[in-house]
Amino acid sequence: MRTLRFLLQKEFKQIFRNKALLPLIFVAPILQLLILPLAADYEIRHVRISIVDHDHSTISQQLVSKITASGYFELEDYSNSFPVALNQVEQDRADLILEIPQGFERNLTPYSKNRCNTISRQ
Amino acid sequence: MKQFISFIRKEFYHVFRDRKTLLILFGMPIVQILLFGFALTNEIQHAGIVICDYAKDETSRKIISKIEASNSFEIQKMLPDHAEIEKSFLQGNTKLAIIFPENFSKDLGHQHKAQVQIIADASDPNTATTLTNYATNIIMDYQQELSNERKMPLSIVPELRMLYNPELKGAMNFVPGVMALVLTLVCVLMTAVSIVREKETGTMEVLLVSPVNPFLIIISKAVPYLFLSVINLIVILILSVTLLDVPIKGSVVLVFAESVLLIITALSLGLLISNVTRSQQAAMLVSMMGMLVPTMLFTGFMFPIENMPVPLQFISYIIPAKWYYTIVKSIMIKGLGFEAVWKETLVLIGMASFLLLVSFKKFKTRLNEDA
Repeated sequence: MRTLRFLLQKEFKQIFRNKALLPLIFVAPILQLLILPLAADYEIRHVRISIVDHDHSTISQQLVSKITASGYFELEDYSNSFPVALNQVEQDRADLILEIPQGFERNLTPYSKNRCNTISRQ
Repeated sequence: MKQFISFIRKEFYHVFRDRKTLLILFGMPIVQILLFGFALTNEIQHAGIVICDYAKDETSRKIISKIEASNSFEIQKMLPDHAEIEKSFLQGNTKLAIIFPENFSKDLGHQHKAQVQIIADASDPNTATTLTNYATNIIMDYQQELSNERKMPLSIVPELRMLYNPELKGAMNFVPGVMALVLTLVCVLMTAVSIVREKETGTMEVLLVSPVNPFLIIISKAVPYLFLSVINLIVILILSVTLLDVPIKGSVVLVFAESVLLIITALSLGLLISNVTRSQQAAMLVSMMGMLVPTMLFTGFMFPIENMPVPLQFISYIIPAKWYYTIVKSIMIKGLGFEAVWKETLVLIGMASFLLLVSFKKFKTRLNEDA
């Protein structure tokens, strides 16, 4: 029993003398505990959206303002050319393209289906 | 020059004699690619679910059969009483519970509105969010079917197009991440340890007094690891193209050039670590804590950087692997050329030259200076 105590004493002394190791042992877990919950967040916010509006109608404007007001999206660009928007995705300035086709409002009469393009980057 | 070559040969002997380390060096990327490619997916399949159906009518049954048919859920039990829900959550296998109240169909028919409760085990928030989204989607799908029969007056149908990765394969994201991880890890750790080992065994002094420029000694230390990393890179690329079907859309030469740039950056970081530490243990710990964890966290392939608080985002800017990851993703997955990644490349070059400069500055040609 006494031998064990002395051996333990020796090991503790060795650990506490090692000035390089000690801070790492104690600081690393604390740092990780503080940073991990902040970093490991899968909820997507601030999605940068680039909207291509070929219609420029009241309805399309309303749709755009609904999207920008939703809190999930940040309007990166509002243009009427798809290549411009695609270029933004390629340059990593936008994550999502929403393309509203021409005649969006005109076609949105009762009982007709309407299409709009959402293109997302993966 | 002849001296330099013989020094490099000496380093290669060191590396090749150490079979175990060599095995780890080449085994690690293979294991990681296989792990990330096949085992680690964010997609959830066969999650245990319990259903408490008080309604027992047509609508609720239809929704239940839809849930049953989906790949994500596996119905464990139909509970007669909602009091038992908590018990099955506590047992641990259940991730989600769905409760249909009485008169579900009737409410839907008469009041055009019915409620269904979804309860999730949020001790793991990410799984809970994903599963409730799946369940909500199934119910929304059913609702769409119902309203198609009735026809809505106006409808906008979104047409979805997933750029660059239409099949939504997770490997597209992981392969560049694993490349960044393996290359930084191998280079930083191995260079740091190999130089510190010379210090520890006392052979550094012998090397330093030999008639060779000390910088050449250091550079020759880094050469074998540069060589091994390039082989690692080739193995990773072959594996990901053949096994995981991840194409290299852009130029392969460019991928290699950028990778060599990252390797040089990592090697200079390894040199720096070896200059400031004195034991192999410390060098190993510093490179593990200082490189492995930040590289995993802040590269962006596991956790989206956009979601992090601003100070953490700033930290991510000083991680070389983050820039490399962006570059490789642009070249490999998006198929872009050099003009799309020159900014990131400049950042990497800047980091590499800064690290090299500092580590050469800090390099001590005398051992007892710091002792």
